[in-house]
Amino acid sequence: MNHSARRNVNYSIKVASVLKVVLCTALLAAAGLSYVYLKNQEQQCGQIQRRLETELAQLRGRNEVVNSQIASLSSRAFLEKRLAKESLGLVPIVNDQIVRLNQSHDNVRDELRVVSNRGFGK
Amino acid sequence: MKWDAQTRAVSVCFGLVGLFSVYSFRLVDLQLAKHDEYAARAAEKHVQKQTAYAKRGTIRDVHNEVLANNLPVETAVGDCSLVREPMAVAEAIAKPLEVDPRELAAKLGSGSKYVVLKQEVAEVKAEEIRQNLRAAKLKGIRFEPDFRRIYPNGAMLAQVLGFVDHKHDGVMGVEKTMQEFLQGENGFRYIEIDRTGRELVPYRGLEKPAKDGCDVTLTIDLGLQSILEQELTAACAQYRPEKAVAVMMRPDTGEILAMTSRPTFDLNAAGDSKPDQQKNVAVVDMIEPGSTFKIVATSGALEEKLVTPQTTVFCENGHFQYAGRVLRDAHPMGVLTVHQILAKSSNIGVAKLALQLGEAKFYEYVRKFGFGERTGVALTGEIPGLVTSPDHWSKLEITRIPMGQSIAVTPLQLVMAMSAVANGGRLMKPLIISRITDPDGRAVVTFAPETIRQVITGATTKKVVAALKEVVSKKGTAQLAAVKGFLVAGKTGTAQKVDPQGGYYQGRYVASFVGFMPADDPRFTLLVMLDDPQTKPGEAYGGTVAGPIFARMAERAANYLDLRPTEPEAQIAGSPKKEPINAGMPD
Repeated sequence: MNHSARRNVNYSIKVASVLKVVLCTALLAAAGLSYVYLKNQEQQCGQIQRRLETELAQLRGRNEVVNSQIASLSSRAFLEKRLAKESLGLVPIVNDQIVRLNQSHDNVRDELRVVSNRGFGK
Repeated sequence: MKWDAQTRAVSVCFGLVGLFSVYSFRLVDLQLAKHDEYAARAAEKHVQKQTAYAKRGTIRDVHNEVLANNLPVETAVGDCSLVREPMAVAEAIAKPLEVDPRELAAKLGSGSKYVVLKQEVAEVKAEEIRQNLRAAKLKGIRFEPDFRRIYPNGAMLAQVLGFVDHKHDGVMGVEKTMQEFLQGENGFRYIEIDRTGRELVPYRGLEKPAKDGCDVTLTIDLGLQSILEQELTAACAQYRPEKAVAVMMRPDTGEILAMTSRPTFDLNAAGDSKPDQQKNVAVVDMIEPGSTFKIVATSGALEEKLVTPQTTVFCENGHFQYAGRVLRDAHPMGVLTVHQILAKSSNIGVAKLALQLGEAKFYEYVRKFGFGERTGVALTGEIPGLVTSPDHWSKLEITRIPMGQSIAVTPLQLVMAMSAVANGGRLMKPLIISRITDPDGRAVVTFAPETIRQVITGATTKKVVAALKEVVSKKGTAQLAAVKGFLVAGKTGTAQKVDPQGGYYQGRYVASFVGFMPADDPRFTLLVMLDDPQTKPGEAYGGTVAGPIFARMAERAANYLDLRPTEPEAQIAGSPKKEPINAGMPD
């Protein structure tokens, strides 16, 4: 290459081209990083979901344990055993110890009795 | 050949093309040709099918009291591929699991990916182990959810409820007959795990949620059941019978309100029970019913209008020779009305009524009352009893079957027959299940009362009931079955105990009483039967053994159901405390 040709070579940086490359690279990098970030987020959310599911299952399990304890402790057999153990002296009521009052069928509904409110607020 | 620049470039290009072609070929081979094989191998390592266990349904009584439900427990499982120090892991979990650490270490060192270490671990202990393992940074142990079937009332209603096996399948009783509804349907989920065994939640695959089992509500009223259980236990302590049974039923609907048998067992320790204890005597055992069966021939003769309640029958003074054999009454009796035949329980009188009916007609009534066929109750192991057709009868059978010999019935059949008399002549289908509801409480199946057939007319039942009322009177055989304030109708039975070697045992009896109360508007039918009660000689009668038990149960049941007394006390025929034992006829 002769001297005149060397002189004609333009060594200046083409900023626009560089910017294009940098921008493209940045976009690609951002996309890649976002992908990785979102994947990580997805994994973390998955683990949180898993943990919450486990906690929920444990809570439901404990609830069932408590329910079955309540069923056992309030069962007729248990209460009868307890009754005998505590010696409360409770005995079944026999028929001749029951006094039955004849029910009035005229006013069987449990309604508000207006008369009781008379004078209220005066 | 001269390796100029162009030649070298072409060679490199060819080399690269060749190399990439090989890679491409391999890639196509892996991704397309062998895709399925490698995908399966990958899945084998990373994909697991996780089971979502369905909960077994709850069994409740008619007032929603829990009879059977589930206690959540966990199964400790080891994955040996994740266990690096078997002994360290074993020592961390041995104490809470209450297992020998050496035994655990041996299991964990087996190399298997699935080793069951212990079943039925309580939730609290499982949590303790999880914390221990987390603190020690040990891996390879996980817990799978499971449940244990528990019966809060222990031995109460044992033979009716039944129990489940280790796979949670019903073995007997309602647990077995309602298995289809109770069991539910397990679900599943395909999951991917990483190399540490942790689930990769975003890669969850196909999923099907578990469908919990339905709840089953019985017709049993635990209040009444408790009364029957207590009184039968007391009776067994007093009489030490070989077997005993009590059944209470609502006669107009056929709903079984209470049912209990002895010997019995604790449902929470069913594995320790013996086959005899597991047997529901009410449906599995057949017995010769004895005099309680006399309602059949009497009803038949009245229904066919061959006799009226006032028709008189000569009872041969207790000695009736027929077909070359002598039929006897417990006490010599002369002329009795049809009414009195039942009240005084005359064998000869009822045999003569059956003779008037004729073999074919009598057999027809036996079958119409439901004897010789299964009732269809939703309980396991029900037998039809033993009723032979007249073609196979000897000449003697027509005089023996009417008094409850040469025939075998189940206690439940006897209750059904007496209920038919109580409800105006309708033979009902016995109900033990009231309804089945899904886990959201919606009714899946509701069982309505079902009439099998009209056995006798209402007019006939009134005549029979009038005679049965007299049984529980000073003139009858069961004055000890009377209940203060109520009219009771019923029939005693004292059957000689059958010897399996042939014939009958001497001095061994099956004492029973089946009746209903209040007699004119029955709220329940109740059968009490004791097989071989131990009494003083000559006292093992239905009226003296089963009658008072009936009275105690019926009085308590009347209070529980808040039945209003129908009779002033003065009109009640007998009072167990005032009257001498067995003042009437022995039966």
